[in-house]
Amino acid sequence: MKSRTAVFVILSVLLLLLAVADLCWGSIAIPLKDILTAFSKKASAGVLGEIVLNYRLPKVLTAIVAGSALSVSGLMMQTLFRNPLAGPDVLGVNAGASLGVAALTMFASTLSGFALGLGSWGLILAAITGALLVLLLVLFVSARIPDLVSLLIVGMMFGNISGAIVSMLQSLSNPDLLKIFVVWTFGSLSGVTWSMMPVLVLLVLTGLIMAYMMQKNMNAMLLGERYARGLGVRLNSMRFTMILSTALLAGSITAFAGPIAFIGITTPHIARGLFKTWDHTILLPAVMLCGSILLIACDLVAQSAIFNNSLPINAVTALVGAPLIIWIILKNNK
Amino acid sequence: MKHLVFCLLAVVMLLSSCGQRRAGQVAFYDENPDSVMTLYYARGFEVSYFSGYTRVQVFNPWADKEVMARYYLYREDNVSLPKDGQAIRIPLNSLAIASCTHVAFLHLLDELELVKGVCNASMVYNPRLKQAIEEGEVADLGDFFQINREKLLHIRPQALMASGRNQYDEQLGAISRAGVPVIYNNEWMEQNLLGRAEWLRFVACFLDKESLADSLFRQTAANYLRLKELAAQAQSPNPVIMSGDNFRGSWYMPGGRNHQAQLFRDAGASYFFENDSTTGSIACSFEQVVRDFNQADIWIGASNARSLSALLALDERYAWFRSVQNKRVYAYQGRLAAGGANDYWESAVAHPDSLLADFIKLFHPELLPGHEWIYINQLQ
Repeated sequence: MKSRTAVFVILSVLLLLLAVADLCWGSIAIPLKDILTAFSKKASAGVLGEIVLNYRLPKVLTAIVAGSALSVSGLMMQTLFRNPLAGPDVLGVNAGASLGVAALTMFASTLSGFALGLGSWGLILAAITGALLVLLLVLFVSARIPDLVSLLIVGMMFGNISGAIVSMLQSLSNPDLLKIFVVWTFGSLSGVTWSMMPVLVLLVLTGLIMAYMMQKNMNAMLLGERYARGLGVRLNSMRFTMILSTALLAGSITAFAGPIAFIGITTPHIARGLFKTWDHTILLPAVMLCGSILLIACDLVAQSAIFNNSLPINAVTALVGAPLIIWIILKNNK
Repeated sequence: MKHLVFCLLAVVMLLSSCGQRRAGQVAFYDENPDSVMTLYYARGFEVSYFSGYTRVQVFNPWADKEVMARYYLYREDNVSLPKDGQAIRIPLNSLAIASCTHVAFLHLLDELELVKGVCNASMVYNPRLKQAIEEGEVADLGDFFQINREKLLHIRPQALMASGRNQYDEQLGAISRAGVPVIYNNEWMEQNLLGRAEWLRFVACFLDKESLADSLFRQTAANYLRLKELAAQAQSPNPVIMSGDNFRGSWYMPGGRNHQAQLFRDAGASYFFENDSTTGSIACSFEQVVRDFNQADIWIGASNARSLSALLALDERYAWFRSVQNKRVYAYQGRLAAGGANDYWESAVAHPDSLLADFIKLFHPELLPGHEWIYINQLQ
């Protein structure tokens, strides 16, 4: 028990350090002195202060929110499907969000000649609409099919259908709009401004509260559905809540930051390895910490001055996440 | 064993030298043409006149001294032509075009009627051509990267004009093998605006209108140089400008040797990267742009929005820029058609003088009081 507390403390300190590092380190060098002025005397901070307070700070917060949300939804999906490779995207909700954005950027342009006047809220609303659409379909199917593997397959098929429609839209649209969509699929933590932050935090908090309310039931579910039912878990309503919570978490992150791969799949494995437990009361806070740390670390790589221009965050998380999963699988098979 | 290795090496070398010759690495002036077209700015092509035919060579912009395509243009059937190029009878009686940038040249030469098919037809701005497309006289050949070959072969134009790309394009190869020669119009790879406009003379070779093209181009060039001199005499201080656009943190700014930067310089503006030696674009992060450009007077080329409020809706942090605070944000949306066609991408190639005039009007309005913007507009 003591060692677990120690790991929590170490991870929290690490998160804090990385968050500060992410504030200090970006594609331009800002002296520590200016960063401190930005926080102490907001008015006199100048343009560098603006960058720290209104560009880097919301980015760090977005990384923490997104890292937590994606990890928790990944953990829930791995528990629900009892499959170590499940992640937030297995339900097809993310693909639905992509479909929404693709449809907006490419269709709206042919209607009005220009999609871009809608602004960033337009993209977010489109992503949420797409995610909701797929979510409703998945919920409809899950109410009819009790078998979880079938649900997994149905979710993946919805994802494929969305992907196919996205390809069709891409081939029909003009290069400028295509670029906007492709850049969106790169993912970005810096797109969330202060005015969007409350909405994002509210959506994610709702999803997290739903997850925390189910932590005991998720433990019961690990024993198998029959045992869980024996322990008094109402399986259908629980499955419904888990799907809804995952969709809320993964869907809102995809809507605000674009697709971010592998964080949701990877962090539950890291957390289980670090804390050596399957207990959700410990794993839930643990994955939130690990996910935030991992995503901030990825952002540090993506924003590092080495590359002059920032790298797509979605590519960095995949480059970090995929080898981690390979390593975990190799280690578990030894 | 040793001998075998030597023999193999010799064979390999022989084969590779044959391959090179086939790829078109030949001396440029191995025969003596009767005369050669004198080019003023363009570097990407060459025209030589022989008795009975004209030889047009397009150089590969990505490889030094390499010929990308060679055309032998003839008027009468009984001329014997060299075999190392594409024979095309001129003047062309029909043509398909793969890019809107070719439209303005054809329009200037009054040969738009030749066009029987276009790629990305919805991107065409020219009203005459647009009407012909709507009436079904001109076929829409689909996306440039996946040209609808059946439609193309159905209308069977005498040639297809396309922009060359930095790799072998199997699609264009197949079209060529099917009997529609591909005319590579590489105007977009010229480093200089007047060089781009001079490709009018290249297009004119295929229409047998060289002298008309020559006089039109010389007029454009003279206009451009006159305007450039005018801008150099400006009394008002040169405004500091920023350019390009941002999407989620990546911002592309024209490099110092880019034709865009040339335009800024010629029109009398001060640009952060003016001493830079990049010919393409410079990718900047949002942070860099805020640091280096937040005091710029004018923001030109904000292409992601149509109004100031829409721009701020994209990202409220644009309000940090002085250009946005002072409402001095401009885009190349002076001529937009429904469906998204933008004349800036179409006819500005052939009219660098008009584009320069637009910029001078923006940077030093007192110099051109009577000029109305053609390609530029101000975000309201």
